[in-house]
Amino acid sequence: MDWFKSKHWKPFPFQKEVWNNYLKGTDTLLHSTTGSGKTQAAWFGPLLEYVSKNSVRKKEIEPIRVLWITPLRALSGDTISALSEPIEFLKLPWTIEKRTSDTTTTQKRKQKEKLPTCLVTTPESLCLLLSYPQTQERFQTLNCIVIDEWHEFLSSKRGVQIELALARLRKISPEVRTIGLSATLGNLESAAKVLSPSTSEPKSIIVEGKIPKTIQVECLFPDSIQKFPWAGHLGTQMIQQVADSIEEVNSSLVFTNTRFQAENWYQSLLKLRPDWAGIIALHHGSLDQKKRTWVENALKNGSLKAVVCTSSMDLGVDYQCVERVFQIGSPKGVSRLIQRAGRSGHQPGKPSTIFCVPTHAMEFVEIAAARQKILEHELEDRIPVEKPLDVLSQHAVTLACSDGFEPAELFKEIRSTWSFRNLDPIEWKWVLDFISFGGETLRAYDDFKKVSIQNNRFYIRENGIASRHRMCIGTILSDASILVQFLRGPRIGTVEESFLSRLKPGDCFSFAGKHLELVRIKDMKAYVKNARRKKNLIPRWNGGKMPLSTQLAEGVRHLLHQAGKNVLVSREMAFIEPLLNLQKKLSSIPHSDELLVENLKSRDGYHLFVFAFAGRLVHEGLCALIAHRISKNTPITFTMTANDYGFELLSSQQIPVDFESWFSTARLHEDISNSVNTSEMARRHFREIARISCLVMEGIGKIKKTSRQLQASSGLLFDVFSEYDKNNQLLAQAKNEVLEKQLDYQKLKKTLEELSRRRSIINIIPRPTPLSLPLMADRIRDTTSSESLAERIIRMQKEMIEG
Amino acid sequence: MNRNLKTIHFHGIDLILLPQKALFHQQEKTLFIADLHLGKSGTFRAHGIPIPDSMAEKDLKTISELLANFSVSHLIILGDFLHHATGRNSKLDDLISQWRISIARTKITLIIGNHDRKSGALEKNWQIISEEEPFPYFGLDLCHIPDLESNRPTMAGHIHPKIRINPRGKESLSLPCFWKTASTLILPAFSSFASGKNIKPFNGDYCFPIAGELISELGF
Repeated sequence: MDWFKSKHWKPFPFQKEVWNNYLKGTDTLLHSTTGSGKTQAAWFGPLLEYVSKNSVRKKEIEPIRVLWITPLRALSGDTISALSEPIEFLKLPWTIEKRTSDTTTTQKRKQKEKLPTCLVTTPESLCLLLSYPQTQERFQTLNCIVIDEWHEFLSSKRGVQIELALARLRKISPEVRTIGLSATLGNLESAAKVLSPSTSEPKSIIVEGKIPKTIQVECLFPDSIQKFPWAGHLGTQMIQQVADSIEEVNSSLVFTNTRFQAENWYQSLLKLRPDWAGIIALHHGSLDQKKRTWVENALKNGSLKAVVCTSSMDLGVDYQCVERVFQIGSPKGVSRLIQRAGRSGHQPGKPSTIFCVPTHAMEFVEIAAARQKILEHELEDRIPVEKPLDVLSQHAVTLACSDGFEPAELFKEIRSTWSFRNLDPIEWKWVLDFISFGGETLRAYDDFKKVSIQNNRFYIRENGIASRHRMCIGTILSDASILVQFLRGPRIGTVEESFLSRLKPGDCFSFAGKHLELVRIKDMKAYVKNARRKKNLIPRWNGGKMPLSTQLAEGVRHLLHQAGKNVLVSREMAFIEPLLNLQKKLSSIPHSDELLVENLKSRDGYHLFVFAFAGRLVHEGLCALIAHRISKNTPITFTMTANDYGFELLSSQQIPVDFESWFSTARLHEDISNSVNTSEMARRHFREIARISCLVMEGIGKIKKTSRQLQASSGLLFDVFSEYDKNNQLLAQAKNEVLEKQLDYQKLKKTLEELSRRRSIINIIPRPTPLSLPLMADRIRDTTSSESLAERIIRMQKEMIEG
Repeated sequence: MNRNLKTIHFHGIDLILLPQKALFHQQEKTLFIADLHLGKSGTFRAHGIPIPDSMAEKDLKTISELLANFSVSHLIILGDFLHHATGRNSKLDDLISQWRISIARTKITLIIGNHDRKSGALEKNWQIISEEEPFPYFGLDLCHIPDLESNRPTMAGHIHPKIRINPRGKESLSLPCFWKTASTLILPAFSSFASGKNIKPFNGDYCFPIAGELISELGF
């Protein structure tokens, strides 16, 4: 408490509540906005416990008490300095160290002998630590596990990794209490349940951080809506407004939705303000770690005017000096916008403002909807991952590497996690078979070497196998990437192979804000030099097309519903009134219980636009499904396009409309499998699963050299298993994850049910409407170059207004 | 003769490209294959990656069928007959021995590849003649590893060439292929358990991608 006094802070009630929970021996999920004192809330529990138990000052260093898990190794440094402050003030004999992939080997060896009192680490490094012998002894004195940014882990396989590690540590040290720190989340209760599955009342462990930090969503407006594009998503047409706004303050963060967009905006800002060279910077996940660290530090000490970044800057680290935050393009989700807004005014009680910069007209609606949802506090859910067998088999091998395990005992432990609570004995048996003799088909072979069994104990006999397993622990995945490096000079970052493989030596491209010329690609490295020419490609990264969240899509629908009744509640909606009027004149604006369908005949053929407002992912599945269902009855070919608002079917013949059969949920599973190439998607997705279950090892320098004879692509393995080992559960997992994650099956089903209840309005439109034009533009984008696209959109827009 | 075969003229020799990833020189009744990598699945198993063995059997059977269908008298393997010593075991050796007995009348020559060097000695009863690269053949050099910068006419393997069809489109596909440059002809990997490498052909090159039973031709 003295420490709080020394800082002239008074502990908040929620902090006291967390401490009390901890001292009582219960787990806690602390839900609180960024910068509200979460770290202290978690940290002082174990500290108070220590002080109360040790009234006489001890000299010897405390053994491991606290494990602090953070999602990014980059965050560990800041966490350590925050944790160290009170320790130094109170002169406690506690040590705080980090253990991440950056930690030196000597340091790691020392830690293996004796862990610090508080270890700050990532899930991957923790799993590694669990894979060494004597785990039991090592963690016996553990009292507390803090999981920072729990919401970040929740819907990923890394979260499952943590669940399994928690089960292990709780078994080793039954005393252990878990504190999850989470910001912005819709489904708090399930987050609590996953964190602490043994709690019967998940609500009871939730502590609400009661510091309402006001978030203001501002919008930058163009001079007029007439010249503003209705489609497209790069939209540097607002660059002047953004530059002016950056000029007003000392330091800004400019968030974009894709790395492509970040590169583009950085270049455009520099072009507009050449005098900003050196004081604005670029930050995204493909840049070299050193470069990123440099940018982060420069931002921290206030020497940068602005940083253009992607979600790489979303998390944790405090940037006190950032005064203004921009969001370029669609906010995509409510929580996401709150998180980003929180990057400014990062101190309890200060308001956070985010300036949204629309890149096309419909984004005004999205911005207004996001503001509305923030006010109503309707945040997105994060759905935890259920029963991923790839993670489980990795975990089982990890434990076999350490002290070995007894299957029945481990089964119980694993079933104590939320994710595997319904694991059945048959699945468990499959995993055991898979890791011990390679699965059913390999029973006949005696040369399979992985996990051995002796007296019902599963363990790993050979060091080689164990060390190979350790090298592939971890579930964070990215596409195969190639290191970009100057011919004679430093590394710049990594670019996805799929982009570089299209380039020939001599081709130029923009990356990391530089103009580069490819010299050669060798050993997974691309050697480059500074380019003389100015006209460049910008690498496109996969995964750039994030769908609008359910909450936000629903918000957009609601605002349009109001607009349909001539209620324009926000400045954004008022601003696009001319556009809304045009939509009304040409077609109509759907009420929330209506489904709008537009019919258009153009030079290209017959267009059918359906606006379900369910997000791009669902629309993609929906339009493939409906196209399939139509073509079952009528021979017809379609071109399909989907965006966040709806989808377009284009055909050379009239498209028959039959909502009842379109939106039926009968035989849904079968129809989806027939309408999209699910087996090819599963084959591609198998890459992730093969990596997690350690079937393939890619792109890791050390391993590459030692096991050249082990190279096989995951696609090849998928084919081999499909042919010779049909019952391989990992194949089933791949198919299932494709359906659930990539096609969002559950949501698709719900959407269909909901659509069949909506009243459908079919409008025959004389020319494209503000709602349908973006879909047409997206389709054309796939077939034409981007320059002519911009021109075509402008032309179509003009035709619409004048026509 | 099957119409899915493609004949090419390469430095004075007529060669037939077969969709089974083999090359036939009719005049000499000689069949060429490259990169068989027998025992690769065993190497994987030895390292804890569960792969069944059925591919080796299947590949050897395909060779036998080709030998019979084309009345081949000489089989030349352009390197990497075996994968690695860790994948060698009595089962595999027996499999090869039996296969060899079933095709006893065919002469087999192996141009030693980098993998063969790390795979242990060949069994005597396999009766495979090992030769170092380059091995002369009617004015051509037979090699395992091609030298793309040399202009001596060469036939080789090692690369496992694949070519990406429709690289920018959504339905992009990577297919194993024969790759012909001005001086070099490279065979696709014969093994059904071999990953490939997407190649970037130079101007003037030809690729012959294989899709199931079909071979097509792409000029660059």
